[in-house]
Amino acid sequence: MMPEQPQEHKILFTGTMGAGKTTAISAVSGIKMVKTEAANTDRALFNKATTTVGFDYGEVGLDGGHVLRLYGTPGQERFSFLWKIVARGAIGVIILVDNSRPDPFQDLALYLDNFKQFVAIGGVVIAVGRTESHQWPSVSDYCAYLEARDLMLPVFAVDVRQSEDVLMVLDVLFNMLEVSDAESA
Amino acid sequence: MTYKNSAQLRQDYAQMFSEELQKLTTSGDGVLAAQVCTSDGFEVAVSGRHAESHRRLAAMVSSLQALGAAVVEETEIGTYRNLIIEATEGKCIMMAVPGTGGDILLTVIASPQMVFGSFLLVCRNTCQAISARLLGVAA
Repeated sequence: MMPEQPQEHKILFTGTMGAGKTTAISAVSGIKMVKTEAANTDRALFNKATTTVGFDYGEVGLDGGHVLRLYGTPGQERFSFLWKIVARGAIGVIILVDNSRPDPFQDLALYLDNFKQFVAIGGVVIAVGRTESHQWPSVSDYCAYLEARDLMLPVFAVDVRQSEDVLMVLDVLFNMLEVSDAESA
Repeated sequence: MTYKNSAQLRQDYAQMFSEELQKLTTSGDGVLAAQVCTSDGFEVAVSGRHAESHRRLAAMVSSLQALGAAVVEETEIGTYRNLIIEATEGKCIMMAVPGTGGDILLTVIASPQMVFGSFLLVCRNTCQAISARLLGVAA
C-alpha cells in the first residue's frame, strides 16, 4: 500500500476587527507569521494600535506531513474585496465573534453572508471570544440564532490566546469537512 | 510624525493634500487621478477621474502597500518604498509619504502614454511637497 501523500489545506480566520484573528493564528502557527498590519486610525471602532489590512498567514503541521495553511482576513467591511480573494482555494472558515461588541449577531450575519459558499458545504465553525467578561449571548443563544436561519453550525466559546482552544476549533472544522467528504463520496 | 485618527487627519489636512493633488492632475503630464489615504485604508483627499470610487481604492491601496512591505521583508531586499502597477489602459504608483512613518500613502494613476521615469519623478516630487507641508504644519 502506497503511503499517503502529504496534503496542504487552506483555512480562513475571519471576524470583526479586534476579534482575535491575528492572535489565534499566532497561537498555533509553527512558522514565523506573515503579518500585514497598519496603524489603526479608527480608534472609535476598536481601540488598538494596529490593524490587519492585507492578511495574516501561518502554518500548522499535522501528522504525516500534512500542513494547514491559516489565513486571517482583515475584519473591516471596507476590505471585503480581499475576503473574496483570500477565500479562493480555502476548504473552510472559522468565524471569530467578539461577545463584547454591541451586536454580535449582526457581526456574525455579516460574515455568514459573505462566506456563504462555505456555509453551504458545512465548512464553517463559529468561535465566540471574550465570553469570560461578556457572558451573553450564550453559546445556546448563538445556536438558536443559527437554527432560526436554518443553519446547523458548531459554536464554541474560546480564548484565542490559548493554542489548545484554537487547535480544538481547527480539529472540529477539519473533522466536519472529512465527514462531509465521506458523505458525498 | 504619526496620526491616530483618520477623521482628524481629513479635517486638518484634506485641503492642503487636495491642493497638491490638483497640481498633479492638472499639470497636463498625463496624470489622470491621485489620492491620499491612510495606511489602514481611509481616503483623505482625491483629485481627478473616478473620485467616487476612491473609498474602495483606499482600502485596496492599504492592502497592497502592506503586502508589498511583507514581500520586501520576506525577500530581504531592504526597505519598502513603492509599488508600481502597469496595465493596458494606464499605470499606477503607490508610495508612502516620507516623514509619516508609512502612515500616509499617495496613489497616482497615469495614462499609458506617460513615461515611467517622469511618472515616478512627479509622484516623488508630490510626496516630497506633501511631506514638507505636513512637517511645516506640524512644526
